[in-house]
Amino acid sequence: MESSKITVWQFFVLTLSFLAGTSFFFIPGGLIAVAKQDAWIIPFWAGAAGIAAALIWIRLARQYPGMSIIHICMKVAGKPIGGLLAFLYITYFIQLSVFITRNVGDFMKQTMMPITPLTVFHSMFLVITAYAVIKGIETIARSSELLFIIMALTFVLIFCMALAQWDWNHFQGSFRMNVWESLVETRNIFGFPFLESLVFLMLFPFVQAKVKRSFIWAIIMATALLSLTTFFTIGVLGVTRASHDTYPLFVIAQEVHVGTFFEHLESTIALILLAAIFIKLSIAYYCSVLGLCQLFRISSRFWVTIALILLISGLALGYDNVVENIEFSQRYDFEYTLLYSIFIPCLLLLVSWIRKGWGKRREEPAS
Amino acid sequence: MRPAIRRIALAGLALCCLTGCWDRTEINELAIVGLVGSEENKETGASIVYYQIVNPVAFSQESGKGGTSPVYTYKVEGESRGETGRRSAESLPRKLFTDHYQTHIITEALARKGLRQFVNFYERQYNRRSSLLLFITDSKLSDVMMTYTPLEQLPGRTLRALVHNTNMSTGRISLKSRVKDLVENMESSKCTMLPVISLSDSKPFQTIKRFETIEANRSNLVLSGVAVIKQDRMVGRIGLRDNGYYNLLKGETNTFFQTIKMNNRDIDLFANKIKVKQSLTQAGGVPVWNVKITANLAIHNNEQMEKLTWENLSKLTDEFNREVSETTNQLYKRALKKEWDLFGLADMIKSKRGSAWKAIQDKEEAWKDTRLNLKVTSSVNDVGEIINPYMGGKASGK
Amino acid sequence: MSNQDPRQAQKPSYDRHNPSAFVDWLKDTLHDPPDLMIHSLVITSDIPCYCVFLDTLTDKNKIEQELLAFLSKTDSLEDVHEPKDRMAVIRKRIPFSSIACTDDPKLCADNLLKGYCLVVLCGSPEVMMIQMAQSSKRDVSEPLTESTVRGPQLGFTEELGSNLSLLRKRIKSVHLHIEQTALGMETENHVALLFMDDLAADEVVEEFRKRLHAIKSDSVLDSAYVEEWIQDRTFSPFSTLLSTERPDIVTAHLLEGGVAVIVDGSPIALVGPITLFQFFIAPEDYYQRADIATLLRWVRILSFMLSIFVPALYVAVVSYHQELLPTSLLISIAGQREGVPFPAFVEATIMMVTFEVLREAGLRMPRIAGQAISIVGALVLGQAAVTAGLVSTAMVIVVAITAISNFVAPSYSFGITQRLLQFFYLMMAGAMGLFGVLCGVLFTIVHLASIKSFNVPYLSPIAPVVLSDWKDVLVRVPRPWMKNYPTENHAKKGRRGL
Repeated sequence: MESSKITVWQFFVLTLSFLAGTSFFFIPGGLIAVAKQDAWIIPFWAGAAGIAAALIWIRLARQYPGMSIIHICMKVAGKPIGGLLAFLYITYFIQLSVFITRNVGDFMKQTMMPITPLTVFHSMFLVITAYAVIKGIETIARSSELLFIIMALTFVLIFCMALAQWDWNHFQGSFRMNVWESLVETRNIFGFPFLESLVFLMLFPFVQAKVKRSFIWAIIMATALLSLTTFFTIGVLGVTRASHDTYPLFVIAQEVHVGTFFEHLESTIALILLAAIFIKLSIAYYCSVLGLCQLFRISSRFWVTIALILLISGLALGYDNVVENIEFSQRYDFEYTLLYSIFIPCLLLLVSWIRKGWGKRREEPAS
Repeated sequence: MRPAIRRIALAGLALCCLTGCWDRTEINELAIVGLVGSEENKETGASIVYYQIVNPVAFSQESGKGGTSPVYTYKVEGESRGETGRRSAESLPRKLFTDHYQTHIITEALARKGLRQFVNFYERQYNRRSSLLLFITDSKLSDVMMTYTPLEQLPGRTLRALVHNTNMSTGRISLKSRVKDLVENMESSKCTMLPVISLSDSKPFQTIKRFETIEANRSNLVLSGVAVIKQDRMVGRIGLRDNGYYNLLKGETNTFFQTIKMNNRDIDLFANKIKVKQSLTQAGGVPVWNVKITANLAIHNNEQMEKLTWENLSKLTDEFNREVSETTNQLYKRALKKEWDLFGLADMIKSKRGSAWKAIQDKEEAWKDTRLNLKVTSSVNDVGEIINPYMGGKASGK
Repeated sequence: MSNQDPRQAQKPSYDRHNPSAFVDWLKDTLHDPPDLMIHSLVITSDIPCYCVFLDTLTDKNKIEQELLAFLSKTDSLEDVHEPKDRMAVIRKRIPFSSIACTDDPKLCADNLLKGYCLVVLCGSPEVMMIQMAQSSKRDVSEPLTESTVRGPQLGFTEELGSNLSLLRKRIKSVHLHIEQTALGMETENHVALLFMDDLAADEVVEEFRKRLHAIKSDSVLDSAYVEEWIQDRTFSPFSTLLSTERPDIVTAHLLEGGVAVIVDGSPIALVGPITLFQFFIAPEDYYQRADIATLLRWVRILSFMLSIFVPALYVAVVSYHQELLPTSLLISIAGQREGVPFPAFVEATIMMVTFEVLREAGLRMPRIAGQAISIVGALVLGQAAVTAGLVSTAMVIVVAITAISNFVAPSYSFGITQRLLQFFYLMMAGAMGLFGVLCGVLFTIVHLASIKSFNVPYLSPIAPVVLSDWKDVLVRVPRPWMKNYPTENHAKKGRRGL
């Protein structure tokens, strides 16, 4: 439907921003609350699991080159069941967009503009994203390339300036984690951000070459970044404060100062966060639109995109505050994502193998 | 038809964005808070907050409205902490803007009662600054809050400057007297030291005539000591000089000032580039806290009547080392006696591993038995402009 | 005349035996304009001849002194007896080079309007047309809008021919390809398409050609007309063609695989494809040392940022996010704003609009009135406005910074882009504070990412990343290091000087 192509580097940037973009902001607080000084180890096993899942997805995509998950579902499981599965995926993408949209609203309302209604943030942000979605994946890829550079530079800048507050004493009492307990407590990190990257099953067909390599590398980089950020948060903020704050990185930026004039850099961190959310949202949004178009054979993205603005901004008001969001993702996110990221792809893979085997056996006697 | 609808939709969306204006506050609708003081009404238990509001007119050059007060202090009383902030609207003509204040004064009585509610309330606010400096006052709060400070007209900034300057010149106040340092120690056994300020006279000078007098010391704010806060409660107070040794031992200062006596003559030494190495070991079931301090010394004043020589300098450093370790040891012992875990020993013991430590960890009060093993080394690297003192009448002899 | 067939009666035709009828017909067709000169003379004693030209378009001296003198002196036609050969003989001897002969009266009328002189000779089957055009042209002068300290000081003029000659003089290569077409039904303007055929990518050239030929317009008065037809995006503040009046810029682009369009009658040439970052490049960058050029480029980028963001950020910070200001600055601004009746957004809008009005007045007014405007301008935007309590001092400085940094833009059209963006961001800041500005920036980035200038992504080489092209984007490396052609134009050759 769309003959766009994205380069390997663009794909890498998209994946990395998707994985690390918002999680570096939302994840460390929760991890530190559970695993204290050792929280920085947790991303590693989550990343390993992410790579394992990625291998399954790539395996599945390799079987059907040039096809998105929607097409694969329909091809493997047939029109009715496959269509249902594809529809499930689309609902997942939409639900993901809703979550990401809500992140914008919550963050803005709590930190910068408390009186403005949430919907205004949502709709404004969605309109911009919709513009990007209508313009297509190439536009999204190019904008993220530019934003990625800006984000990376700002992040490094804040990182360096906050390093002045570093205190090794914050690590007093490391390496005493109860592995199993923290694994269970922090299982949501598997879901967000690693397994969420299953949306890239929609984007594999656009990549020119080396899908596997850049995808795996992006996951590794994201893992390292996440771990580094957590490590950094512990070192700068200390366990006590980091585990109590909703947005520890925001607090770090708030407290950064160079001299007495150059302080209060939280708006820069807000800038990184919003840019990251934008990339992530435009990917999820694009995938939902593309999925709908592919499933129902709609040729123009325009009206689908516009209609989804209303749906997403409506659904984004679905819960009242951050606590509900955090609780939900801690309790159910992992199990929920598992269904889409592991269960269905494995099923599809199995079915396609059986079919292939079946086909071979049928062929053999014939020949 | 369709373009018309599209246009209307676009206009509607644009109008939606205008709701952002609900958050708009012009800068001259704000009451910029420069300093806050809180205490508790002893009779009713209600909390009283003093807001010192900056008067921007006094600081604008063009308006030429000399003779206005640079700050105004409002007193607000409310049942709870949240209510006082809200009730400020009853007496303030502008919107209370607390994002910028960086100094907070608390009465000693309130500090002794506990600061937990204050800290939690403060940390819950998104617009807080955790680099907020906390002060404890032993004077009457209303007087402290209504004191003009000469030279630097914003009292809040004066107080910050006092802390910074003291830290730079004698190291007797640590820069870690912020809310966030208090918060970090909230859940540990470590004590937090907060500076105490007092009014130098009994009665403040409440009009801007104050700026016309040359007597700067008259009813001014001065640092007078340091309050020891254990978790969230003030448990005691030590002098500024003692706090210097505390900061030195804890490695929280880069400067230190010490006067030693040699041959009954004063020598003032200024230590800089201080390096502190701390480690906790155990010997025979007793924890030992090893602290190694190295410092560079600068001679600020030397009343000796002899030329500085190798021998003389080495005697001088020896004396410095001895004096510092003795005084510091005294402070340490005093703290242990008062059950103040100034240095977070209990936490350090808890985070140790190994069977030898197991026994120590089982003892609740083990940290009190901790021995301090202090080693001070120093070298003089700045002797000043003269090596050979002017001897005056005595030396020229006869 | 009598033996005309009916078909010819409808269409005017040239009758070789009756030149005066033809001349009358010309007179009728042009509605007997006052500048139509019809000079009838008799050559070689008995042959009537007419010289027809438009006084206003032609070089009268040349006609009188050379053409008429030549014709009146032709006595050698004596030996040519066949009347229809006379013209051929004259043509052979006449001392002019651009000559055409036709028997199509329509073409005669058209060419008459292009400055040709018609020589109508009784008995000859065709009319001779001699190019005698002389337009009131100005000399090649310094470029007015893009001046440099060092480097060539020549600018294009309105004359296509002299513009082409300026380029020819710079590129002495057989590969310079010039294609000329006439555009505009009424104006019939010549438009030249230039490219290096060994460098410019075929697709890009083809795209240019396609778009040029698709122009359907009655008039093309300036290259701006052409630009509006062939640009990639109509509704975008960003221009996808570089307009310049400097031949050296056009040459440089041609030599990097670009394509140029020059329109007769306009001193501004169009160059494409271009990217956003080329708007930060001034011609001076290449005439100065590389390090200084790099520094100046950064200054230009900085001032671009300043000019689009300063008013917006000021409004956002002062009326939404006061916590971001350092305390002493906050107090100082609060002191200044004490007594200012407007909200910051209104204040900013008033000042910005006033400045735009002033600038427009400065552009349009007669030079003589310049004094008045600078005095009044200083009052409106200066201390007087502050003393009157209408605006704050900080706002005056904000507007001043914005204005000055806006003038840094090397290209005038990019300056206009900046002004549009700065108002857009100001609106967003007024409505939503920093979030609004950020949304505006994201929107701009998406917009930029979606633009392509003749199939070259507008943000390249940053997005998509083309590392080898970075040597002339944020920095300018010294000449000897620029061994390769930039890849963004898809040039046919890789290395320079091969």
